[in-house]
Amino acid sequence: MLESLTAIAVLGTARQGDAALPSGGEVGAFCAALSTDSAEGRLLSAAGVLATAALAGARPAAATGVVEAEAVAPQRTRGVQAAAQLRRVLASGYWPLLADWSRTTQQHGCHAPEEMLPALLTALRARLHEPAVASVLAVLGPRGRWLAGQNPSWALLLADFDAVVAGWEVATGVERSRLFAILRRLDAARARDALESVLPAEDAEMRAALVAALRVGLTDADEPLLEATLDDGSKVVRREAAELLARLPTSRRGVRMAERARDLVQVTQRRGLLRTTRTTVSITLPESSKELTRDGIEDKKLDDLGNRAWMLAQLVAAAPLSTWQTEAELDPVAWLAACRNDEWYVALRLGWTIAAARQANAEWAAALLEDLLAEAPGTALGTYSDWLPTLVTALPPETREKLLRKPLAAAADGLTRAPLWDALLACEHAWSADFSRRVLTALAGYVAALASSWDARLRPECAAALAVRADLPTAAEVVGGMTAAGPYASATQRWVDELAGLVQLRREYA
Amino acid sequence: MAHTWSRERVLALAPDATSASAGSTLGVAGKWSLLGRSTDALWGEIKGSGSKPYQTRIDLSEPAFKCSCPSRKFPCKHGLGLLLVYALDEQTLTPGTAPGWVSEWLEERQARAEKKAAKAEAPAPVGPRDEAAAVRRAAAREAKVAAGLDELTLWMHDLVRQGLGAAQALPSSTWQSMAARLIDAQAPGLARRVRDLGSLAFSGAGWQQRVLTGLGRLTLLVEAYRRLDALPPELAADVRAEIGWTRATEEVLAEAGVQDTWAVVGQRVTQEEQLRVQRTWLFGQETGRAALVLHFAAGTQPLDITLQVGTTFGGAVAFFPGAFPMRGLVKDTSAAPQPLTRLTASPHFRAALDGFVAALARQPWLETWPLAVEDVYIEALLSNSASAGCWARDGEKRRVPVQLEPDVAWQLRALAGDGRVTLCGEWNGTALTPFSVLTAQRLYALLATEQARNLVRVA
Repeated sequence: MLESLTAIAVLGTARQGDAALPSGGEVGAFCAALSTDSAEGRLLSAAGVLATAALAGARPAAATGVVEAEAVAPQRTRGVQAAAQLRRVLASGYWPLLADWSRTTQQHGCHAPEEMLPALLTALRARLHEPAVASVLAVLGPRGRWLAGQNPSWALLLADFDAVVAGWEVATGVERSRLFAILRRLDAARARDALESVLPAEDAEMRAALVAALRVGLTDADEPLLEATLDDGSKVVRREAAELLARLPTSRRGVRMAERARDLVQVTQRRGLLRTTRTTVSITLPESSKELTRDGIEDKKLDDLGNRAWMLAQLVAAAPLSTWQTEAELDPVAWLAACRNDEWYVALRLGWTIAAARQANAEWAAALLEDLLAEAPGTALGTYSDWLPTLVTALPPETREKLLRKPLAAAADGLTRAPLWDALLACEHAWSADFSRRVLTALAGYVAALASSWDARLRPECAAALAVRADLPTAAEVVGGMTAAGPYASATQRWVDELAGLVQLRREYA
Repeated sequence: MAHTWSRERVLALAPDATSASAGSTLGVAGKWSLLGRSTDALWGEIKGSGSKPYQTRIDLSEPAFKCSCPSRKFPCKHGLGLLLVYALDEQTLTPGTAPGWVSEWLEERQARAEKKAAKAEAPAPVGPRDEAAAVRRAAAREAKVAAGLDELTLWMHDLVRQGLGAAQALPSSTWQSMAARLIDAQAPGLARRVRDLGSLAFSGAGWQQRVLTGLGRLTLLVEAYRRLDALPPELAADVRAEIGWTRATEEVLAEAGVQDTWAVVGQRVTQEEQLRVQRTWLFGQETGRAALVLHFAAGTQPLDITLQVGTTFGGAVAFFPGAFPMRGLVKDTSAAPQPLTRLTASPHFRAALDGFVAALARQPWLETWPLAVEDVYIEALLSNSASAGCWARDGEKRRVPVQLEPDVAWQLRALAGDGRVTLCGEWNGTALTPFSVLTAQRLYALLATEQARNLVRVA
């Protein structure tokens, strides 16, 4: 009845004329009683009566296709505050903070509260391609895993290899390389096989992205494919392959580089007076050749280094560091001492720095860092600023703290040197109380005297990095007293407040 | 007030998001140079941009804030920060006697409250001239409203004559200007309905029927007003309230009210023209009655916070007169609220909706019906248009659509976890809009936190 009234109303009574009013029963009697002199009035009144009756009579429909399910176990959570804390952690957008929260929650044998599961799953899904996700997945708990299964997007978090491969095969662009990173995490060998079959058909950009994704779970078993990729038609692809082969010291490329390095850097040791050994090193610069280009050594200049000097550096960077140990019975410190006076020492040291960073060699990294810091703490760090963070990452925690203590104390105006700051942020371990105090006190001094309006040090991620790594009691104490001063104090103070808030949050859920 | 302060409750008092974030940065004890508390007051001193530190005082009984900073916001960020410090750890405030500037303020407040109470008990005598003026004003208003209703009827008839099909093409100003004219005619309730109709025209498939039913019910309301004298007094009171006459709260509070254990199950704040309206639903645990308490706040005024979702209190609720009383006022809030652990609910939707039929028979202009149904299973049916169609299925295997934003629908499913829950919400004839859900003895309410609405555990 209401439908027919609607049909008339839509076209208008001017065209349709009077509506047929409901006539039967109480409703009809009521509509008749509401007699008004206009067709519109009658139509509207009848519509109102029917609408009210419909509202009263509306009942839910019987369900069809009912599937009975069993309740999933509720989560064990760390109290009433857990949801609010997780909300603040997610709101900060800082992945290390989420990883820290997840670790602490798991240590207490608990999981994420139910009402925060959708937000948590969405955040994890966005970062699915990063290897660190695996450690956070455990905090989902049984209900989180059940919920992930209900949504195809989240289900990828817990998918097995075959499910992801099916999605990967039809994906395009960034999603494709990200899914491949996930595949590598799940089963590196099968992922490589899948890549081999697909590689010839892809375009250059995609090939480069997929080869770069082989970095996840890189092992010597990937060497044959990478060696073959050195002959790829596209330069970007060759560069990616060379970059990855540089991390595999036992690869054929590594062996080739070792040979070349031995040819270029000749060591002679002479027995001198009083049983001392005099070591002389003679360094020749390489010539460009087709084999070198194939192996990814570029014939270019880099900053102050000329073509051949930079080629030497690249060569040394690509050679496995064990080469130097076998060539002469010298440890890294001795090598550096022996080569220091050579005119190409700078190129050599740059090459060793890159090699130590790539091959994560703690011994070489420590020797190089000490050498760099001893030379001129400020300027030397600037030259190697790109490689410093990875160099620091190669060191064990105690060595990092020991080596960085000196430049931290020496820099008269606190942390003005950006490379030192980057090196500090590269210390991804739980800082000791002493180290935390030194860094934060230097930061307090820096913040109190800041003269520029925007400082790369004061990015939001840096506040989070500090908050996650610093020792909590020390941080609470020092950050509590930190105040910004100077002409740009208000913007800086906001950063300090952010840092204080994050430290506070960590204390709450610790 | 006996409820404990949590960080969310404090930040919920903030008038806007910037105040909330500014307040949370000040919620660190280290920033305050002086912190103290007594049994029902807090105070603190904090350095600001002026030369002298700002002095902030909080009267915990309401709470009420006073700060010497020049901010116009209420409560200012210093008040929020001080309350946050207290919420986090009350030990950071040293207990003691209040200093002069705090006790003076508390005494002033006490004096003002006493004066107000005295004034309420002995209302100013109304002289004969005032009475005559009041009668004239009332008559003028009735005339204005009657004129406005005539205009509304003509406008509605025009719409139907030309056809609703053209309604969607009309600019929104058509609806807005009719609503504005109704406001001028002192019929704000009708103005709101006209505005809602305007947005209904763009509500998707089937809008024509929805607009027609809205117009139809509006017509009946107008008719009812024209026959006001012939109506029974309670229904007449309802019709006047629907048109937009406000009712004096003192008269309502003078009644005895309904005594029960009332559970606060839902709260929603909406923005109307110049006002924020807070709707709080109370479910009586023994009588099974529902009550809707309205609070209003203009501009940056704070909304009333005496009713917190997730609490129950024993007390009386006085209802506004009407054919089916729904709107009420809490008579006294002296009884300490308890956390809510169980809720008496209807066994299935049919039982809950039978009450709606009875209510509509007495007051036909009710728009929504609050209900609580237990043993509900939350389903997600993938319909062809919606990506997350959320439905609720009761013990009798009948299902209703649930109206929720997708993010919140996922939260609801996560909380239900394929098990049974008690769902509380409003039914509008086609769908259920939830305001809280009870699962495993925990109540989660839909609250606005930091600009988004989320299910938050409240008990």
